[in-house]
Amino acid sequence: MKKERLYLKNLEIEDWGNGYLSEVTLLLREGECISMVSTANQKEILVHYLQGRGKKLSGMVRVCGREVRQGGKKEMERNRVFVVGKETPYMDSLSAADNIFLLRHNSLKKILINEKAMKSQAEYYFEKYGILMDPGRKNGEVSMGEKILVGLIRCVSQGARVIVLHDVSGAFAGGEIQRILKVIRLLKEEGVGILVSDNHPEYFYEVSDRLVVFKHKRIVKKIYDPEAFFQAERIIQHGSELSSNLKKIMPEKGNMVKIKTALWEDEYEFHAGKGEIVLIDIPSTRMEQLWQNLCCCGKNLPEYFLEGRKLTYKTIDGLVRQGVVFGREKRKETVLAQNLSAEENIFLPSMKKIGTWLGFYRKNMEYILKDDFLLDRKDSSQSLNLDRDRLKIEYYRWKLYRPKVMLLYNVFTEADFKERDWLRNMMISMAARGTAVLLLENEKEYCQSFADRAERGQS
Amino acid sequence: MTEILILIIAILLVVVIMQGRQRKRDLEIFEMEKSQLTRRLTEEYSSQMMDKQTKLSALQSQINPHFLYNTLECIRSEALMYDCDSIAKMAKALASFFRYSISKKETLVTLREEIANIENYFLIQRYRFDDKFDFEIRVEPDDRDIYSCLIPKLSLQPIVENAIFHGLETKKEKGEIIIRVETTEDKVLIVVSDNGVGIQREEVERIRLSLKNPEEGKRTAKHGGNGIALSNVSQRLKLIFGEEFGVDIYSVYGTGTDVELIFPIVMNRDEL
Repeated sequence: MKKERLYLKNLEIEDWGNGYLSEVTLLLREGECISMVSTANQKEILVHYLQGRGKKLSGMVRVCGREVRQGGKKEMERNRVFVVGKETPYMDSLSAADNIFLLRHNSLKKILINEKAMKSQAEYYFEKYGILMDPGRKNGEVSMGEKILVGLIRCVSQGARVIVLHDVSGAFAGGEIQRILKVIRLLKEEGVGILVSDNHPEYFYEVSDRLVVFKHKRIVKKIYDPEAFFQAERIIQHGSELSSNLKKIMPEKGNMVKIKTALWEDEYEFHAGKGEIVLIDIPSTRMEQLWQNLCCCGKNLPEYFLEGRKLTYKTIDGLVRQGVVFGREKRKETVLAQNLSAEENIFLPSMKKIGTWLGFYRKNMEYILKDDFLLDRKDSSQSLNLDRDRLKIEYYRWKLYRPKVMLLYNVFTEADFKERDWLRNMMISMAARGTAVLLLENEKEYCQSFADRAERGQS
Repeated sequence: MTEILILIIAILLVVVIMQGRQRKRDLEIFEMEKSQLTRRLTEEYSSQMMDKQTKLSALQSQINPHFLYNTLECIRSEALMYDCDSIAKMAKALASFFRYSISKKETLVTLREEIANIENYFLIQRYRFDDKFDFEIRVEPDDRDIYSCLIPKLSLQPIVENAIFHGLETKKEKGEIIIRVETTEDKVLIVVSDNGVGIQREEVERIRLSLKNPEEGKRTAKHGGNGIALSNVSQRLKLIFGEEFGVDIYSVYGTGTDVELIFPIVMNRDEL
């Protein structure tokens, strides 16, 4: 009978300003490794919570049979839950042994540092877990992968019962990933429960006992059979297909925006009129790459034409300045400022627009809030919460800012049911204010219900 | 004089009218009482009838199963005599399935008994669907003792039934149902997985809602929807073992469904 390591029951958590997860039920037993797979920024919310950076809204968290009430970093580490990742702090000027034994809570209240003991202990751990490393070597001289291994040993030496590996695959080049897999196998044999949150979960499939897939801000599937792990990617990309292709008609109000981009050997061209919602109908497998291209992350910059004029830009910032904005992309204009109120966050990008030449904007802000075009009837600027209503604030912000073109990638696919309907209304009202909306969504069937037309875009 | 006479006549008239009204009122009261009495008598009669009907049904339910089991035994022996193993196996499985479902009165049974019942059920369905499905139970070697733990009767069967009828029946390829039993020091986790067609997102959401709020689930349930059975199992687990336990469902359209049951390890009824 295996011991319980981590038990989450109907957990609802919030990552400060980065969204939430709900109905998370998960059982991790001793010697088990669970890999988490999700679309962007979902599994990370759970990792951040276990790191002490989130807030529990409801549900239960039990570590080794003991309930965790607050869930701060200290409490998690006291319960032997540790997170290791690229963000884990290391001191490059210290040796590996120092990094293992010094950068941690001083539970024994010792003042004297016994360097010899630290070194011999580090040697013992390195030998035990088959890590070929000199404990005396400065941390600044070792690779990122080796730093992760040092971080793992630091957790083990503190008696870790649950270790969360957060985005560590990037630190291991090529075949080096086997080094961490070997350590994971040994840790599993010792009864440590391991949670893996990685952008390349496939690297960890051979040590994983199951896969948990997060989508729509909850767990949508648990894959128990290693032979079926390959399904995870399909689940992430899965959406609904268009029931029938919408008839392609050119926008009546003329081409407000035209985007030309190349994807592998294919050329794509998308058009949208003023106030038009266009669903881009391309296969899910190509979507991610197309989005990267549109966000200027590809090799060749796409061509954007606005009202017949070609936009000149070098980076995505240049596009944003000219009224082409990108929903979902985590950028400076989408991040909420925690030190500002909800209403100030909504007005932030538009302050320059509504302010007088001296920069005073508060009076105009009041006028806008009095007018009921901006916020829903249910919402008021006082009732909006910076953590809970992050999505609403972000899109109220865009509604007020009134961009010329808005591109969205899987925003509807990732939203839960309430958010999805709210977003639909928001897109319709933004379109009514003249914004051309282009949707790149897996949930095509739903988006079809409010899109003006669908466009394949391949020329 | 005439005035006095008129007055007397008037008084007499008033008295007569008053008496008439009183009589009418008495008559109304009498009618009301009569109708109340008739209603009470009818109610009593119907309740007696219902009682008798219930007793009769109870007697019938005692008689019918025995008749059924005996008939099935007869079919089995006939089948064995004619070397028809498949019919014999089916008849045996069916008899065992009915004996467990109808005659076994306990609300809590051992996991062993529940799994044996599912095996019987699956055997019957396998014949029905011409070996279209595979069935497997996976229990880790260290966890064999868990077969003796208690579980509400017929907790797994409706889930397997749902997996067959909603998940696998419409699937073209061969389907598979796997029951995984995992344990910790104090809990059992049973996962019933199928690789069937899965459930649409909206429907999963509705089932989850019905697991949280059974009344809401009943209201929104589609005809023949599979949320009611799950909600029933979940409610029973919560009632017997506590609110922290119950059922969870995970499904993506096209990739099958997993139903998780989680409840405490209880080996003895006295522990409850």
